[in-house]
Amino acid sequence: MELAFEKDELLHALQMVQGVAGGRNTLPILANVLIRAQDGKIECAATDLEVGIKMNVIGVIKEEGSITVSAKKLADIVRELPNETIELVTTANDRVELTCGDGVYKIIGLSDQDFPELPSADGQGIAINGDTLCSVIHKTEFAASTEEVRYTLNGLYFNLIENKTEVVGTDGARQLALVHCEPLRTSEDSSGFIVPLKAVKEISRIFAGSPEVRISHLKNQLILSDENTTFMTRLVEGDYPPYQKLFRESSEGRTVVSKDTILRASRRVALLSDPKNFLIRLEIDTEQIRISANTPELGEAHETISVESGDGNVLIGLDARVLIDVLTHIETESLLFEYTDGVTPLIVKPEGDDDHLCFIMPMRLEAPTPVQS
Amino acid sequence: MELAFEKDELLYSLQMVQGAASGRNTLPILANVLIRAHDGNIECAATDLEVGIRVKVVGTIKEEGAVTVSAKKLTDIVRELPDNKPIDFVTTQNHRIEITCGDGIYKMIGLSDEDFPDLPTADGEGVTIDGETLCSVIHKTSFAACTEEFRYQLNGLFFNLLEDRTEVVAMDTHYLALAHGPHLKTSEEVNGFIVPLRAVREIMRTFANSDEVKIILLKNQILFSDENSMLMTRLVEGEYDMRYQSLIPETYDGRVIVSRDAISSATRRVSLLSNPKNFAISLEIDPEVIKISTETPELGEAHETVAVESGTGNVRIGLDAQRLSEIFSHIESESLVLEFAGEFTFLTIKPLGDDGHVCFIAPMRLRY
Repeated sequence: MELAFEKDELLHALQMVQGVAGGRNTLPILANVLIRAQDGKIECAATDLEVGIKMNVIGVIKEEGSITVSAKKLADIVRELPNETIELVTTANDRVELTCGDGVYKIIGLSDQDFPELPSADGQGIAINGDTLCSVIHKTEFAASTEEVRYTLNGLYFNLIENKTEVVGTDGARQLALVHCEPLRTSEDSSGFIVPLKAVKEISRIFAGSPEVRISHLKNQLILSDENTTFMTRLVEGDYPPYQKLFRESSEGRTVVSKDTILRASRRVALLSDPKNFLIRLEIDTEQIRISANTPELGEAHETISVESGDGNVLIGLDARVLIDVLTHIETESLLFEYTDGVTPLIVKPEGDDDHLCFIMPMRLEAPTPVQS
Repeated sequence: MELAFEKDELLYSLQMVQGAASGRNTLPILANVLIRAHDGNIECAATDLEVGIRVKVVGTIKEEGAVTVSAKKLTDIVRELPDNKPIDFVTTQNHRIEITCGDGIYKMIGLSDEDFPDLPTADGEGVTIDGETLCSVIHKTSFAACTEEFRYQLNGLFFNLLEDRTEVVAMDTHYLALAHGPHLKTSEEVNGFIVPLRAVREIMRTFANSDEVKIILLKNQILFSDENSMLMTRLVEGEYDMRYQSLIPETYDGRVIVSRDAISSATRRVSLLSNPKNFAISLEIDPEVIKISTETPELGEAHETVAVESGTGNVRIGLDAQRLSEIFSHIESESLVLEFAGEFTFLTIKPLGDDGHVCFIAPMRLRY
């Protein structure tokens, strides 16, 4: 094989696939990137068998062929090369020779024969705009669990309802984030799927800015593709918990408040909350919200912010980290709190956007009185 | 005590002293910052007993007094407070502190200032140096200091007080960096001192923009001060390994001048295919070009050629690519000079046109 690249083109492709390549794997070839020139096209690919990516690279083919070589080493070298044409040639025994300016780099690779075959998308599937997809991910991903105990929660659930898709992330205990987007249902028998978090992160890296991403759902695999890139991931097996029981018809009180003001006040008050549970109190009335924390060894903090409009009262205890996390992912200037009482989940929504909502479970404010035995 | 601050002033001062406060200490008060309003001045201070920093804070005194409170918590809170609103800082009973800013009230539990260690005052006789020069000699050398704890005398910068100048030295077993500073000798008995690395970093942060830094050498302590700040540090005890002077080659067989950026980026690239255990690369220098290469059985090989600007002599020498890159990135001129005397002698690297900075790197045996 004999190829020539501009540095930026090759580097961009390597950086895209490098995140997918296995880092400390038992199979050495999974740490490698496949570079293949075939039918007038150059593509590079990487996989750790759970997720995989294949993308086209702009370059000149002098002789077709293919090779695999350490994704990290190759990306590190290309990153440091001067901005000149890079020649990539394979020599005997699966070696790769890179020439650029006055430098020659010979890297020992592995044959492409053992590299796992990645499925092709062939333009199949339902189309969605790349930025929409990334926005949906951004608004929900933070709420998903990273604890490995409940593995169905280590991903985003795409609930394929008739006329829309409900994307959900939750840690199963303290918070849940939910976004609606366009329908992605392809067949009658698929009602939803769980995309693992590792894949979710790669998807938002790869398809941000892509005008059209096609999604097809195979048995236990999801394939996403645009013009240049195909990405596949295994789906999380198992059933997503019935989160719908959190939904409620109406709330007793609704309060609108500036997002920045409440976010900054919560951050400050959180600094004097108990480092064990980050408990803070929100006291909402029709005029203002008072946020406070009180930790015996540390001290106490009180902030008062005025509300933009509101029609109810509540006193609720929250985990400050969860509240801050939720507030950070609200993308409007004002937000809406919906509440019923101190033991019902607090609903946080961007003002004027009914398709994005977060639920925060309340925390008990006073220690329970010990039961006499 | 009752004080008022602008956020930026208080935050800046807290960030300056916070580095000296201890993170993991048995004495809780050492994690605290002292805030004291006395004789019309507000100052804050922190120390872990090895290094201590005290700075003046711009603010308004309504009532004098003193208190100590967690340096980290206070800095974190002040950083998050709204800009452009005055911060009221009041002590209440039992060493409690109340901070009021905008619509927020923060009450923190502090400790009495009585148990806070006294930091020395910089009143005595001293020598002066401008802050930029001080930080420049530190920057040119401190990267080479050994960080392995068993050779504790090398875990610092050695200030060798010569008659006409000061030689600042840092080294580990494989390389050495040396910079010349102005004369700092004050007494006949003291020929040098070792400043611990931890203090070195704080000195650069504290005095980078000072016009004049006064240095006072006490028995096992040294004080650096300017009009706003005072930094004290314990000195490393023990003798510095003076054998470093014998490592410095007296003559050389060859000398080449080369562009720093060209050789530095070529070295970085070649090092990527060097053996990850020792980063061995070879430099083959002749009067026209420098060939940099490496060969590692499992990985591959790399070869780069860098043109020499002018030169005499030939050598092929093995070097540690990581340390070599470290030296290159601390050379401040566009061209640098390499001087060599055979493959078993230290290679000398210095900036072109600056005799006050020189680095030496040990040769390695090459297997290829």
